Amino acid sequence: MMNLRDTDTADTSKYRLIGRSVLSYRFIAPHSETLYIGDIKKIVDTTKGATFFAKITDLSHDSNFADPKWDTRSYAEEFYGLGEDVFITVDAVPLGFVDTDGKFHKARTIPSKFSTVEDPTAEDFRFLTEQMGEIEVGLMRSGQDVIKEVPVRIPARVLPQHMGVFATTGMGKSNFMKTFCASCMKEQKFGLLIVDPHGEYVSGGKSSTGEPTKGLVHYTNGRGGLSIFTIRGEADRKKYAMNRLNLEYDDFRLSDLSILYELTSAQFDIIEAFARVNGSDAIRFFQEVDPEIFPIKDPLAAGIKEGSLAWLIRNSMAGPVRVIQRHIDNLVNGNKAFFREKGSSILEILNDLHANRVILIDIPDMGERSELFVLSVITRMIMEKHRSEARGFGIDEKQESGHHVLITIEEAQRVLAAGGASTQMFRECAMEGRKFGVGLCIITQQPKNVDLKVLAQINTFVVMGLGDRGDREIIMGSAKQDLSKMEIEIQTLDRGEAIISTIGIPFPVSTRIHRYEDYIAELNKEKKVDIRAGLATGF
Amino acid sequence: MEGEYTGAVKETAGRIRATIPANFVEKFQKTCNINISDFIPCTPISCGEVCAIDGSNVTLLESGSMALAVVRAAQTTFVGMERSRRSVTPMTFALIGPEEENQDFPVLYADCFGHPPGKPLSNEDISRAAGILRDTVEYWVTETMAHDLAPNALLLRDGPLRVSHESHDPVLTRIALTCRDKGIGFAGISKRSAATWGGGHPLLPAIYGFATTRKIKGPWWIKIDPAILDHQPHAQWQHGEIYVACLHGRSRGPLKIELAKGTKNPQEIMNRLAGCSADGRIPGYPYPLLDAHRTVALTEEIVDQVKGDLLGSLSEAGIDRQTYEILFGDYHDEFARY
Repeated sequence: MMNLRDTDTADTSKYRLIGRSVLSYRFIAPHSETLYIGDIKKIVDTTKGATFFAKITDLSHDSNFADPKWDTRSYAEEFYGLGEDVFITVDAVPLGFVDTDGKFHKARTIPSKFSTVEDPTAEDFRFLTEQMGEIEVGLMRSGQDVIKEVPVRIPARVLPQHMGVFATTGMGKSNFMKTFCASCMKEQKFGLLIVDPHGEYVSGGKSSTGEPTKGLVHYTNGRGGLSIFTIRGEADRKKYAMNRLNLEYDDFRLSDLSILYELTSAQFDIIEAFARVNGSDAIRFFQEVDPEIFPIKDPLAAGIKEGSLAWLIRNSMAGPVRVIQRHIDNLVNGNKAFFREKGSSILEILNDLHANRVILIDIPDMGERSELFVLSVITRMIMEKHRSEARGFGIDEKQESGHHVLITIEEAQRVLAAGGASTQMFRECAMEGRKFGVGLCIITQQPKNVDLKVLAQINTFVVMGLGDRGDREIIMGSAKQDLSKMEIEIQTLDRGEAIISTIGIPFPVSTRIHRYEDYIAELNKEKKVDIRAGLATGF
Repeated sequence: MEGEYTGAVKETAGRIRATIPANFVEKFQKTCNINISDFIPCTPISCGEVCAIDGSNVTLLESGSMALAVVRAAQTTFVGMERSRRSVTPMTFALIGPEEENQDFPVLYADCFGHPPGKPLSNEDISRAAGILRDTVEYWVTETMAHDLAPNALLLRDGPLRVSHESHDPVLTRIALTCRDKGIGFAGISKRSAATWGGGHPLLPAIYGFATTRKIKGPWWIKIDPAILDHQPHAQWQHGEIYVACLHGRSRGPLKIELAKGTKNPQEIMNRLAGCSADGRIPGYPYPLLDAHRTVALTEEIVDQVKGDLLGSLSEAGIDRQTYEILFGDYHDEFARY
């Protein structure tokens, strides 16, 4: 007897893994589904007993129709039963998988064909929460949603291995940095140095979008983790318990000029000749010397003693000496607010850094040159201190025993551009700093203008919106984790969103950065640890 | 040589052109006395319950003495353009040859209708035999659905309401009667038609040409007076009245629609057909029929799978690969490689 068999009308084709390789997954979803780039999905492989995780990297319209141009040939507006054959093809990049023991592994295998694709729950991310570090900056994001249960914390131990913050203007860079500072103040795992020429970190100001913002002093519960060195007046210093910033002439080296000014080779020769000369001696010399005596053909006849400072540059022409003299004059006069003959805050700054505090150098209205001057002086002092500390330890205990410091450089392309021999000190810091526990936090909106060798040293990438394709390509090529499949996500990052790639967290994490004001409001609600806790209270 | 070929092409084109001459539309109007008022506009309305039937056949293997065909039929039912049910018959194998009369036809026919066919099926024309085997299961599905459908449904068949084999005539008669008794609209819809007028001029281009030159906007329908048509063989097997319809304003061409003889409400049926013919992929064609076609189609993948299964069974039955190749091997497959 002939019979009619009903065909199964349930649609089992959607949300099943159909492709493609260890490094790239593919599944299809209903054509009307709302999916976002960056959505994290879990792939449940019941055969292998493993749960794979993948992040959506691309969405495209697709169909089962043989004619690839069916949709451009449509002759009317209505379509029946479209969902059966028309769908969204979803490409996803594997993040890794959790085995039956709950252990996370990198994606070195492939889920079974037709494994189901589902939305993960907070419980699924427990493995990730366990692997997160200490420095909280935001919440994990899955597409448009935030997973409240998964705070993103950068491991403190990897930060001295350099961090890069890459964002164009208005993407929330300052908010990120303040949030990062607040967590550093809270955790006090390493010293963090920030030089702020705009005066916005102390008590806030206005964001690039014009909204009022708060400063680091408003994180009252974390105040113990913050030291501020400022050039502001006494009233302000008292109000916010800030220290006065002083640099003395001996903190200065003539080589600092090379960071601040474009120098000719003749001027460089003078800098090099003064390499071992104290700052105060060099400044005094140039304040008093008459450049017109150079070059000195007969030093003895001119009364120039062998080994004297004039003797060191006796062959220089008058012009270069005059230029150096003018630079020093400008430096001394332009930075009078904190640069003086005697009295330096450097030791205090180093001590506070080594007490794992956030050190904010607040020099409002001082301009870019002053900022770089302060930064170069302190960076050099930190490097010298750490080098000498390292010499005191054995080879194996060098890193573990020393202090860890992270130095923030805003608009880092100024001092870390390719081929800039004049910025040797920052370059050395980038190349060798990690050996001595000195890391750089490089902030830039033009990563393509930063030396590739420097970018290659960075182990933690905080990528916020980057509009320039060249910038994105540089970042994708330099990160330690593969960001190439996330280009669309990077391109579509919104203000306050970031992708954080660090060797401490198993895969690049999409993050919604905490709004600083909301974050410190929460932190300020936390009960402060009583400093007397644990101490005996009676006799 | 080149000139001979060009001449042959031109001659063929000329012969086709002769069936559709330059004054084709005017000639059609004069000969058949067609007027603008004969074209009746459709108002697309909700199509209600619509069931579409289609069949498929493929010749799997072919040797000099016999062929193996596989046939199946399917139905797909929509209510308010949402598919409510879709079903398909099992794939049925039938050998065509080596005997003169088909041995599987009576078995299949009895399997479908409970009694042997009134007339045997000749194996002389493999293609025709396979088509009639397919029609057998297709008519069985049509009859089954005529019984299953609720009153006032529409039952659509891909093809004319005219049988190609005498044994199907009583079946189609029963289907038409059942539909009439239940108030089911029964229509056979054809994309192409053999119908001609005026001694060999094709009907569909003439109707469409007339509508286009007179700027009659779709959707519309027109009833065809059988008197204007050239003689059709086996007119006694004709169970429908002929209409031509353009069911959508952006339709690529008209359809020949046959409604069961005695259908009293052609306007309503046309309106309902227009209501289910607005799909952007094939405007002007009833979507349930497309769905039935896609349900039943024996695609290349299916055929390859079946061939593979068959080859395995033949091997188990003791026919080795070489014998198989001698029997069913096609040198064209080899030719295609070069």
